[in-house]
Amino acid sequence: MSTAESSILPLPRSARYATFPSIFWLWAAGNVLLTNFITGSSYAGLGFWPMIVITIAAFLLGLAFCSWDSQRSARYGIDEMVSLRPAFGYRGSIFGVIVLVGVNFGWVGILASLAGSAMRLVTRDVAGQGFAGDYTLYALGAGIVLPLIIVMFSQKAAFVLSKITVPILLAFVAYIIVRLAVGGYFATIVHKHGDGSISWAGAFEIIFAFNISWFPYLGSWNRFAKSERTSFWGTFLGLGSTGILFAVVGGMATLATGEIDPAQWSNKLDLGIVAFAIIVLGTITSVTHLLGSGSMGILSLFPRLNYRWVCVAVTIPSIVFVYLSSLQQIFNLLLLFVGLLAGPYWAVAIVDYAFLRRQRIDLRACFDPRGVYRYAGGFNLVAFLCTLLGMAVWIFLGGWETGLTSLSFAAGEHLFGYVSATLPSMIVAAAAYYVTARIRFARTPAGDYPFGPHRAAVPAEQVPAPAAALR
Amino acid sequence: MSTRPELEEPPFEGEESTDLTGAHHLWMLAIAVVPIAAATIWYLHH
Repeated sequence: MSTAESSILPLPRSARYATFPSIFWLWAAGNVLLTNFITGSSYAGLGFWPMIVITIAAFLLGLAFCSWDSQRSARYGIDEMVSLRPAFGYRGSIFGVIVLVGVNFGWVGILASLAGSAMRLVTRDVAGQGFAGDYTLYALGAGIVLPLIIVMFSQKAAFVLSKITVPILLAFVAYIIVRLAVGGYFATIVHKHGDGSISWAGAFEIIFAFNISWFPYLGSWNRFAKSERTSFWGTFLGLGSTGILFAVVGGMATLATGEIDPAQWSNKLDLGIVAFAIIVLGTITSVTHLLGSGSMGILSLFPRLNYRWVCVAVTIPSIVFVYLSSLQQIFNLLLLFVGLLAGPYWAVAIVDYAFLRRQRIDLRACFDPRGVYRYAGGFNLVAFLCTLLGMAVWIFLGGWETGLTSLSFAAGEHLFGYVSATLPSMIVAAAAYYVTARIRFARTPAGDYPFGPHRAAVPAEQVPAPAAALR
Repeated sequence: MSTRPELEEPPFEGEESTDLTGAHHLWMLAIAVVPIAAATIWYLHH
């Protein structure tokens, strides 16, 4: 692996080799997630046709945000966390890393745990009996150790893995659909009406938060994209194709069997070895992506650390989640975490790049702690205040989802039924930052905004070299 | 083999890669807004 590929330094154009098929298959594989099944299952209570309509529409909206977000990394060949520095300051991207690492522990743990329990259930069904420690072997082996070895060998291995696993997994999902049809389930599924267990806005919130949980991961892979178009369409269509497919299949399986847990409905649909293969391949591929991205996030904070040791460090804490009991609760908690913490923060970053900076950033300043993205002590307080405002909106609208009375507001819960929580909190944070930044940074060179005052020319010898800044 | 970045002399090329046009920006907006707008209209009529 070359220096630039294994560090947070910007990739030269010659190293950005990922074509549309590469990006497409990478993200298509990335969304081959057991948790996507659960997403679809969790709002299947809407009934068949509403479930289909909201899945397609909300996935496309959420993924459009992901594709817009990926543009910074694709244009400049930089990691997601580095790309946050123009908006939040040289040190302000630390918050993004914290969110990334937190989300990473949760997803890897949930995936490994789901894989462990599902594989144990299926293999016991096929072989007739299990053995002591089989859950630990499956969960840690397929969900943690194997992906860790792959990503330690090379971050690029995920590209190769994706090209092999995605077509196979898509064929397996097609097989599930065939089994649903052959088993006579379709008539039952299509005529299922809503049972009132979830609202339209509630379903939208689950899908939207689930999709924007990709924000922290996008740049570490899309920096390899040959161009912005490649990044945009590869991300949008890649994540969308398998994400929508898996969510719909998960929803249909729940409507057919009444079960939400993929292991349970796999058993009821008598999928046997097919389910086993989907779980193993999907878990290995997805966790490889997650660990690679998490490692790059840590390296953006501590560039002198060894890449392989960082890979180990972002993996170990996930083991805790493997032994927690209520996966559905962790899944819901993780979506709340994403909606509240990641939504408004990344909304500010997107509006900063797309509208305030007109898609131009000073790349060298991203690596210079004393440069124009220093703001106040390395943090852009205006951006953080607007993020906090967005979080306050989220708590008002969606705080009741936490189950804490201190965060529940009757008026907010009522409004949630019309507008959900994460999307409005992002709109408020982005709009607030657009307005306040236009006023605040029109009079100061901090942030180097195009509408700000022109900076005085700085002699070249006073500009610290990026290498010096990284030391 | 160590994968530790050699920070002393990084290949800091910092090249931009841009190929987006105005039409592309419209497409990027349309693929997000049109489906959710259509879904909302569908929902309100059911």
